[in-house]
Amino acid sequence: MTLRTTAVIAGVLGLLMLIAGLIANATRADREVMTQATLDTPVVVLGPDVLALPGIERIAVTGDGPLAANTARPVDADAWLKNFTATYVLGYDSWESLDTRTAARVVVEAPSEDASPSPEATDEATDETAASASPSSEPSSVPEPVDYGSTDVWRATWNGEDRVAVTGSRLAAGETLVIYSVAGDNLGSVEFYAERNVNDGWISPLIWIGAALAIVGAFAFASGIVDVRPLQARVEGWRRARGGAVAEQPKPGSRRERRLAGSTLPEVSLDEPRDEAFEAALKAQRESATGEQPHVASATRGAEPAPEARDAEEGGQK
Amino acid sequence: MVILSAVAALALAACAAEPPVVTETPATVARAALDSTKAQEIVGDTFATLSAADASGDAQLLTQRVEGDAAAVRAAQYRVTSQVAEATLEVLPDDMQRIYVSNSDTWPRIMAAVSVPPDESLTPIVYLWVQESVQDNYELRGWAHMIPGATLPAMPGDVDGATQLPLGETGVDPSPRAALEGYLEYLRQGAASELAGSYAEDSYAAQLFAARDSLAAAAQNAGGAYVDTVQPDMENTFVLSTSDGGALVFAPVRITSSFSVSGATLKVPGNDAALVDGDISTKATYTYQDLVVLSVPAPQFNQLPAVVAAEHHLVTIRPE
Repeated sequence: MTLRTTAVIAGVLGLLMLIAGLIANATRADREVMTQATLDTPVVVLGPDVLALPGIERIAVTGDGPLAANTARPVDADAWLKNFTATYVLGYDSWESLDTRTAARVVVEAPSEDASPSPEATDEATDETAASASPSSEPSSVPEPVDYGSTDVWRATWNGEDRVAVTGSRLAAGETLVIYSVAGDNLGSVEFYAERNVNDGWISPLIWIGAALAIVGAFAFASGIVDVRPLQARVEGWRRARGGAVAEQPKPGSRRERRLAGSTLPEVSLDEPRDEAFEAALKAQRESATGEQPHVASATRGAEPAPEARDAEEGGQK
Repeated sequence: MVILSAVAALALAACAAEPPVVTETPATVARAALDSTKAQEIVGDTFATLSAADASGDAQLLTQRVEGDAAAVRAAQYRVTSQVAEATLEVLPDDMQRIYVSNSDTWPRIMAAVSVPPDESLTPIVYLWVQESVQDNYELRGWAHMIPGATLPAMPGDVDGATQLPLGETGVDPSPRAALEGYLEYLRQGAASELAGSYAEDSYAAQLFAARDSLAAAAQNAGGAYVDTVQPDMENTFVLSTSDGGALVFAPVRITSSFSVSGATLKVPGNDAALVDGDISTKATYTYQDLVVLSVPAPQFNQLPAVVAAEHHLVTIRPE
């Protein structure tokens, strides 16, 4: 396998590497990712285990009107949450969505004559929001103001209008984050902004190495299909004319020597094919006429002389 | 193309790391129910409320942060200052030397604080706040000046918080309940009680006994009688553990002192007249809402329980 062939193969492999690298570069995942979940409760809860997930830089919740984000000891948050319907964020479902569940508040129905005297409590996970806080059976167009009670249970509080964001580094380990709509309206969404580990350190080297190999292969391939010798001769002539230096003599048998000697197209013999009997008779006749030792002589006109003989001829010409 | 697609798919698969999953719940660093910032905020809100009510002398403004005995005592002081020109409100400093918080997981919870001395002649004041439920504010429920010469035991800081002990806590001897009941019995029996040797001397009991002796003698001279009734409020009595394994008991105590005369008309003197509800003839009952802070040392110290803060707050005088 020649060097040129090896270079061409390397070029093909380089081209594949380059294409793969470019595809990976164009489609690779961003380091900074936003993951969200829609909410249909006035309260959203993120436990200490969720807040401890690595990479979370910021948590934001959207909604209408004033929003409040608070941290508390988990036991305190759990006690507070018994009175409200809330969405619990359980972690990542994927990089595009969060895993959540909704827990309804403990509802104690108002006693009535027909109803059972025992209160009914629902604190199981459900996809449906809790029943109205009001025991009244008549719908009301004006929502009742929500009384979230004392704020003494909260350790830290952040407030926002339509959106509240909390930086992950400002959350104390082991605490629960509770975010609610001050007006009691359902929240819009909860968003995690995180920086994730993307294994893309190999893409740039792949592109650069692939490109280099592809270029080498392209040159090797081009040199096989394009006759650059006239161009080389012109360059050498230009160099001689510009520098005035005496060009070195080409090495015997080198390509440069052959190039300088002219066309390398093979010469084709125009003689008729030889007759063996005729050749033998002619040889015998010469031997008898000269009495010299026979020697080998080319019977082919225009055949390539031996290198030594050819040098002698060229030297004579010079 | 197949090879290319496979290479690209592998490349992309290698790029996309899976999202992290929830593993374990980290422990809370601060175990206390309140951090120092929130505790200071509660103190600030409380004294803002007090300041607003003090300015107008209106007990109706004592909402949200001042409730229970504290509101009743302050309301009585407003009555006195509104009717007696020379009377002044008791000074309640809002600058705290120490704040003690609970690390309880249940309710009610308490917070206590020790102020700086109101002036050079007065001792620091111990305040007590109570939070009844998660939905309620911490409310100031009482205060009492420290007993001269008394020292509060060392208490856990605001990171760990103090453990709220049950009244029947057996880690101290006597238990908080036994110590309190014994002390109240000592107050009922007087200085000559056998229980006197079970408690360190304190000026609160001494003043109570001195007043009792004086008033009893006066009533006796007038053909009447003087009777003190001492009642604990166990539901609103709370206990915090101290750093050394002892207990600090915060006990509201209701004392009623009945004074009667025979063949004469009883006259209530000075500032107390402003607290009389109705017309007094021969008998009046004074009602006090006191706060007693009793320290029960850890067993290894072999020390007597001692009252470290207490105050006698007159709230009403009712004729009978």
